[in-house]
Amino acid sequence: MTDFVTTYGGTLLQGFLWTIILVSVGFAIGSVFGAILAMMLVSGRRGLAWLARSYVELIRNTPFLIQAMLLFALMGILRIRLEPVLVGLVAVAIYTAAYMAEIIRGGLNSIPDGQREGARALAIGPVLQFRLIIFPQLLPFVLPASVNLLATLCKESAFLAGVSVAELTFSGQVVITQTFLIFEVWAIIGVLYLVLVLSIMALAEFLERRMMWLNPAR
Amino acid sequence: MDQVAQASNNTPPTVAVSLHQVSKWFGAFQVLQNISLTVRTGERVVVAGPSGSGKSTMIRCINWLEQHQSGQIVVDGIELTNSHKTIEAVRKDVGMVFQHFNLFPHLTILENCTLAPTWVKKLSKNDAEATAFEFLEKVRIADQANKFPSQLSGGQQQRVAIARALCMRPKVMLFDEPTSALDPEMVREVLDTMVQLAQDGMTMLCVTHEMGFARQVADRVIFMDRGEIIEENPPLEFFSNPHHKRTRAFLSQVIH
Repeated sequence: MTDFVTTYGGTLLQGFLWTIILVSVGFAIGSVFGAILAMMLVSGRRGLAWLARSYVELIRNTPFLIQAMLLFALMGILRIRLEPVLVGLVAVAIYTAAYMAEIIRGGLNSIPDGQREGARALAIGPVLQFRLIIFPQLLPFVLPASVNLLATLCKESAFLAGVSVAELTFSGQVVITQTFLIFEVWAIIGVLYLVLVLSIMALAEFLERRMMWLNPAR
Repeated sequence: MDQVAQASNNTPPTVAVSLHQVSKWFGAFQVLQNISLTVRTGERVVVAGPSGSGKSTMIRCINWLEQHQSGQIVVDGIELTNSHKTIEAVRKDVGMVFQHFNLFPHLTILENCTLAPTWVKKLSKNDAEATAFEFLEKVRIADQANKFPSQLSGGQQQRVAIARALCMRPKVMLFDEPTSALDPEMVREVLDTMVQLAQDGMTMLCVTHEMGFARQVADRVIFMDRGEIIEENPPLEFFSNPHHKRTRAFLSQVIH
């Protein structure tokens, strides 16, 4: 047992860390693009909304693994040489952006027009309106949904092993080919995913209880 | 001292809001047809008319919540144009009370009242809170200052909305059917607040179906139908001797 940990623990831990980096950085970048897509969706400009809508539907209605494989194939066709981890990160960001766009759009639509009108009537300009009125009301809507998305990403990112990104599942495959401890290794991998997702959920609960602190209007 | 008061009483009333030949279309449908209207400082004007007659659209044009397409709107000497500075200046001078209150649900009553004064007028927190309490006292709801809007009744919320608008110390107050979304037993408290405001000398332009209120405080009642002002008279004349056929039809429906 100690032999196993000293010999293969490092490989698994490295895979675990790569999964965390892939998912968190990909999520952060994807969220920014998701916010931009949400603005396009609610912009009222037909061309922009159509473009964003097409993107969102394309990503949401195809498997993540296929998207990742297409992305890797595209890199080959375009002769772009990137570390597989970086391409995996881009894949996560592409996926996140589509789901985040829908989350934010739903949040924006849930705020009645009267809120903006009330603010406009008080001479509150568009920037302050977003900061003081819209954003604080968006948070309770966006925060729980995006935590769910983050948890989903942790699990979906396992598919990146299929395109040889050295994340947790891939490192499991590596260790198995060397040890043939199929059940044991997958059990460890499963527990590591469980720990990761449960920690995210715990963090979310912590944040939700302190949501009032995130209110810039105070 | 008396002479000074006398002199200020004798100065001719200035124009608070004027609309000249204002028209507006929603697509092919003309909602406002050459509306001309002058509201003098200190005057209380009630706008009545069937739904869809354009009365809400008209007062929403006065603070640029809707944009007119032709004609001229001047508020406190500022002509409304599509420039941010102008629009902001006008909105600082014009308070508005909505049918559905539009209070900010994530902020307390006090914070609802101090938000715009602190962020837009750059008042200090203390000054803004002092002002807020002054007006919350006036609408008799200061004891609820630390509650959230959802914890208050509709009538209380609407009184807060009136206080919130007054905290910007507007020169004109617009009311867009302020009692239409209220339960019947809450209409009175909101109307009482509005009557008190009228007695304090506030310039008011009210779209309402409350003809009792019109009778009690209005200097003039305006009747709109199909995007036009078709009758404009002091309440006594308006109610006892309506000139236009459509005014008579409307009055017979709203006064039982």
